[in-house]
Amino acid sequence: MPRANDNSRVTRTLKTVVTAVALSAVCLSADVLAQGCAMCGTAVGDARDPLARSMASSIYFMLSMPFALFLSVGGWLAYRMRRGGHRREWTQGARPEENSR
Amino acid sequence: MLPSSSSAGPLPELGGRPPGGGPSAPAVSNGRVAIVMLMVAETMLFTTLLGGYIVLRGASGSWPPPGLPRLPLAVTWVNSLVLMASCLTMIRAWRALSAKDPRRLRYSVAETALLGTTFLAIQGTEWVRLVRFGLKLSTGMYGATFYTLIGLHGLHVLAAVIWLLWLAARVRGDRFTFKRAAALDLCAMYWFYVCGLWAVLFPAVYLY
Repeated sequence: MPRANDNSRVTRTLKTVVTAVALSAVCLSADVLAQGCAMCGTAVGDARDPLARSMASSIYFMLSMPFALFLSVGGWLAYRMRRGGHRREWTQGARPEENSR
Repeated sequence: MLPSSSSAGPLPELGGRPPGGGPSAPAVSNGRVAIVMLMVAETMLFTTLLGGYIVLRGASGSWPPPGLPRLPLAVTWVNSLVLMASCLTMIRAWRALSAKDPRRLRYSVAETALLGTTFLAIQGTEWVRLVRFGLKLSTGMYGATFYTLIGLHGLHVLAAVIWLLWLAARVRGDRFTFKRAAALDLCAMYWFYVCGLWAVLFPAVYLY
C-alpha cells in the first residue's frame, strides 16, 4: 500500500526537477534574450541616443513593478497568515476557559 | 505602517477572535484582499503612465519645452506636506479605532478629510494658474503627461476624500459601532496608498 511519505517525496522531487529545468532555460537563453527586440533596435538605433536610454529605463521600471508588487503583497499575506496562525494557537491552547464559554 | 492592534484586541473582521468564542475570522479579511487588489491594479496603471512619461521626458531635449511655464515647486512642496500631515491624522484615527475611542476617532477623521480637501483645493488653484499661463492638456507632451498623471492622482484623492466624508458622517451618527468598523480600516489603507502614490509622483513629475 503506498504511504503518504512516498507521495510527498515524489512531489518534492518533481518540484526540484521542474525548478532546475526552468532555471536552466533562463540561464542558457541569456545570450538570446540580451539581443532585445529587433523592432525596438531598428526604431531607436544607437544605444547612446537619449531616446534609447530613456526607453531602456522605462522598460526596466515597468518590468520590475510586477515582481515588486508580487513580493510585497505575497510577503504581507504570508506575514498575516503566520500571525493569524500563531494567534489561533495561543487562543486555543493557552486559554481553554475562553473556548468553553 | 499601520499600528499593531494586538495590544487593544483585534476586531473580529480584521482577523481577530469574535467575542464569546467560536471560530476565528480568516487571517486576512475579504475587504482587505479587495483593497489590496485594487491597489495593485492602480499601481500597474500608474506604472504604465510613468513608463511613458519617462520615455517622453528622457527623449526630449529641454523640459519644460521653451515657451511653456515651469511647474510651481514651492506651493506643491507645501501641498505635499499637507497630504503627509493627513497621513498622520489618519494614523491617529486608526489608533482611535483600535482603542475604541469615539471622540478621538471623530476628530481625527474630520481632520483627515479637511487636509485632503485642502490638498485638492490647492491643486485646483495651481492648475487654474497654469492654464492661464498657457499649459493645457492639449499643449503637447508636456501638458498631456502632467495633467494625465497629476489629474489621475487628483481623482483618486477626490474618491478617497468622498469616502472619508461619508465615513465621517457615519462616525458622527448613531449607527457606527466599533464591531462593524471595517470600512474605516479599508479607507485608511486606501488613503495611505494615495499618499504613497503622491510620494512617487511628486519627485517624478515636479523634481525630475
